[in-house]
Amino acid sequence: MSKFQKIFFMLMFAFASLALAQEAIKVDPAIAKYKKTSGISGSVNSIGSDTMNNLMTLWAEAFAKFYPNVKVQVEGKGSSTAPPALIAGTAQFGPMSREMKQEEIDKFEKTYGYKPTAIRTSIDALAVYVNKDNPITGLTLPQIDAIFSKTRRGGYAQDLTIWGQLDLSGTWANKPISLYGRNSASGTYGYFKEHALYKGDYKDTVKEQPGSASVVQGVTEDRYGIGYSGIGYITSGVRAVPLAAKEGAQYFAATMENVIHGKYPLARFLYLYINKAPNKPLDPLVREFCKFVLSQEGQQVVIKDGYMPMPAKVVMEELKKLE
Amino acid sequence: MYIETEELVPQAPVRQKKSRDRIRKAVDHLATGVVTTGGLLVIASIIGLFVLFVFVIAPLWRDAKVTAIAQMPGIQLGIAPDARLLAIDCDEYQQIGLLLTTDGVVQFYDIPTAQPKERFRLPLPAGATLTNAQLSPNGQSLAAGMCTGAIVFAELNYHHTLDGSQRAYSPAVTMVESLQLDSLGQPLEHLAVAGSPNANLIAVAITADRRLVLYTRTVETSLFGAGEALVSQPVVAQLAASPTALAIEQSLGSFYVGLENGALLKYDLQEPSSPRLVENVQAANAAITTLGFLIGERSLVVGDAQGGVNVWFESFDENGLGPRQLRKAHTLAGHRTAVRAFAPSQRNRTFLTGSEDGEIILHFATNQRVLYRSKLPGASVRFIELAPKADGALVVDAQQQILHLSIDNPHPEANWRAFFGKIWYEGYGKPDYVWQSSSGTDDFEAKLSLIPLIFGTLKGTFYALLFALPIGVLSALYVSQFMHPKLRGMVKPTMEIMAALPSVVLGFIAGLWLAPRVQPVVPGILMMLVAIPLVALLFGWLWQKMPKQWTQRLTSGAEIFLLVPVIVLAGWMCISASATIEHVLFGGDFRQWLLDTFRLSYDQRNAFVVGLVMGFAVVPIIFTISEDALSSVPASLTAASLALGATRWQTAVHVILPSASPGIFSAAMVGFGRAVGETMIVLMATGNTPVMDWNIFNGFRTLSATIAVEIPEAPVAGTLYRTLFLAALLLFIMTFIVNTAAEVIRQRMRLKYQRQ
Repeated sequence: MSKFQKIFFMLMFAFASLALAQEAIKVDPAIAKYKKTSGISGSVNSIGSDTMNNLMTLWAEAFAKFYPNVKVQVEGKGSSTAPPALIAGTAQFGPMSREMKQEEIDKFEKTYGYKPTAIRTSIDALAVYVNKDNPITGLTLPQIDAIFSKTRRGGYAQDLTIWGQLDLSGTWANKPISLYGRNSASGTYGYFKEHALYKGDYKDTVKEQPGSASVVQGVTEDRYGIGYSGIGYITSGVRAVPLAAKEGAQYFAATMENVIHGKYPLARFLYLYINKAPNKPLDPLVREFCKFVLSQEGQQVVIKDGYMPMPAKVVMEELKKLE
Repeated sequence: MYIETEELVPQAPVRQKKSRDRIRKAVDHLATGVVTTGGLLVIASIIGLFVLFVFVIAPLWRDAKVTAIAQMPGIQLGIAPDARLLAIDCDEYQQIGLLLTTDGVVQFYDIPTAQPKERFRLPLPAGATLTNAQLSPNGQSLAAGMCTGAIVFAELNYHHTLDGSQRAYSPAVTMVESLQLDSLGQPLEHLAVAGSPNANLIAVAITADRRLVLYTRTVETSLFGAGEALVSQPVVAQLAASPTALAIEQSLGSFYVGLENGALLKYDLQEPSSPRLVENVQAANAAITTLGFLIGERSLVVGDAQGGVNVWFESFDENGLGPRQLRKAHTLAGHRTAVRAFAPSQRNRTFLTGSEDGEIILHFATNQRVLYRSKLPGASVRFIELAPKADGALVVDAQQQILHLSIDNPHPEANWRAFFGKIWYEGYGKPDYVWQSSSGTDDFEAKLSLIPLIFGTLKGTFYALLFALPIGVLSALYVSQFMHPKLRGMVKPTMEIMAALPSVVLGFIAGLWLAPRVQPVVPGILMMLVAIPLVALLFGWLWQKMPKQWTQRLTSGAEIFLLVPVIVLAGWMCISASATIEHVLFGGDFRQWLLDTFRLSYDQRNAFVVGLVMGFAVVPIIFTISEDALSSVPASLTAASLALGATRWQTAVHVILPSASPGIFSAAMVGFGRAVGETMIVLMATGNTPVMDWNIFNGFRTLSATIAVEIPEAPVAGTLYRTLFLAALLLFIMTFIVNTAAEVIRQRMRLKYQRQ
């Protein structure tokens, strides 16, 4: 085999594996394609989740291909910023990576007299990231609780502060674990606290980062770091650790298959909150944007950003909420 | 400018001069007016700011507003004269009320008009009456105990629809199932039920003859859909005293029993068919009369026959070790007589208790605050229900009177204790100062201690000044006293340009670039702190030994430029020798050595890096003001000192420095003010960890960074929003006190030193 042929085959193989990787996640063919309607123009604002920041931007770009006269402004500082913006009317969309609290719904209802409408848009596997050099094979939720929390409600017997306690040997054995997390405005912060810390409290030593990207950046630069963020923010500098729900259970990686089958323990929906008065038609622009998000094209965007599309059954349920 | 022109024209006519005088006077007046107005405006705006802060913060301390809306006898709402009320509830808008009576009737009524509405009758066996009832926390189902020892389950639905702005209701009750709980057929006096009808379910009851009976059902879902129910009626071992109160976790984890002798028992339900007694504590000196959970089901509120109200929860011991045990965390304001009723809020840790003598108290568990306390017009309280949104309450007394209260309770979490005291939070081993202000669930317990933030602010400022003060002052001394005026004219503006660097850029560099690079070479940097001054001294000594014809070729003060490469070289050598130093002095791993020797941890985002970078931002300010102060010392003093034979060094240290000390002091204070208020650098480079120790190698969280991070998420006029304003006020007061003190001290020092 000549050198040229070798390179050719290697390239072919690379393309084939790339195609395979893309084939792994596919939008449910039962989800309808987006149908363009007429008379849609204007501008809308979206304020909320940082996890969904890129996703909203990509949706807005793709949406603008159908309607060049539409402007969508996206701001993402954290899910907790969505309810105040929806209440004040400064935003028409409130992307959130957690469900709204009752208290937030109460405040919305006080202003409008009805509750806000939540639309599930996509699925995220909340990933626990370690540095790419970290050899750890997997973590259980009680272990994660003992690493991040000072209350240890998961029931792990001891506080975990050095990597050696997680059976890492060699130079890792006596290195302190360096913790990265999000600020409290984040829905990811709230979700992680509720599900991985069993509603316990974070340690004071968790370094609070303003966005998902900076958590990943922190873990990339800190060899002994560990942090959490949406799977869409994964880079080559970090590794998403496979997780197990209980001590002694099997580890599952944050893949589409594991998420769909409910095996990955930290999977969640990403929501888009809108202000819809009951028995009244929705503003056409808002309605069309939501329909676009729930279309074949909108769900393709979800894959493009590294998150997971929803099954057709869920999409149907969500479309009904728009009527 | 005007004056100069005048002087340039000496032969001006008198008339013109007079008019110029007038103009000059007018301009003078105008200038005085503008300056005075400006000054007054500054003072007014500072006072305005202060008033605004106080205006926003004051509502935090306001008590809850509780007003009675209506009081009416139950008979008026359609309950039978011989029936007794067992449960009361209302929908989340407080429009429709529900009454359950001993005869098995569920009577709905319209709350605003107090008119009876739909009426349902639970199908009870002939002759049976209800003795006790429990509503599920979500208000969607009810369980009631009967005089035959059986229980019935029913589902509730208010069927609320919104048509325009009008709410319409079609409430309904559906009977789901009934179970025989007590095989001896005794009436059930107390009842606690968790789980759902036709699924996993646990029911505990106390019978009229003071026995504890239990019923558990686990439904195992098989592959073929329909589940198989495993029912068991475990017998609880003999109790030391009669049981008087019950509480059960809706998560089916465990249940609690309060006894007549004040003991509190906890039974674990991991294996539902055989509950295990895991705890037995003396929770009160008298009989326990009420037991119930706060939102989140972690805190248990225990009310007793002497009126005591205490909050218990499980936690590790003080050091965060050992098994979880029930601990009494809060002793709240008590009643004078026995506690008869308890109702938790579904929004936060507020709860309402009612007593035998008809008193009600609205408590907040976390900070032990009494939000409202009043003796009701009616008789002894029998039971209480808080509206789903906790903005109202229904109180039933012994004479079957129903009292409807509206509650406005916007800031229960706030009081002095919450902000500045140690508080025992749920699940913690001991009371502590903690800042964790919000999260994504309703049952989150807000932790609003400002102490860690104040501590972090002082820590950051301390390390920044530790770095900036010596450099700023010493370089000012050198530049003003030893450098040639021509060079000084170049160096000073350059230093001032440094001050123009945006702090967000510095923060970005510190957090993302510097912090990861400092980490591997900490020993080298520590070495630099020793090596660079030594090298500088050595250089000075060598410079003196140099032949005069070489040294005199340079302008005075320019030798510093020869020192620069030497220092850079020394710094570089220290960094490259870092690994060797680490190997020789710290056993090859500095972080490990630090941990083993001083039990200090090394964090990548730490006060050391922030001190360096924040020092960089503060140095130009300290330098400029100190330099001005040093340069403005009268030349006569210098001349006199030199004439008396003092060297330049002696003159600088013994004459100039004391005279300029007021100015240097104010430079330090202005630097302090800048460091206290600095936001972007600490926000980006510290990791914002609210830890409370002085370790230079871990992070901190300042007041300013907290305000910047959390104000966008804080709902306007909410507790967090107002608390952040309180943090801002503290910051304001801190800088205000420091600046005022600095000014006073500076004036005094000036009087003292400038007289000499």
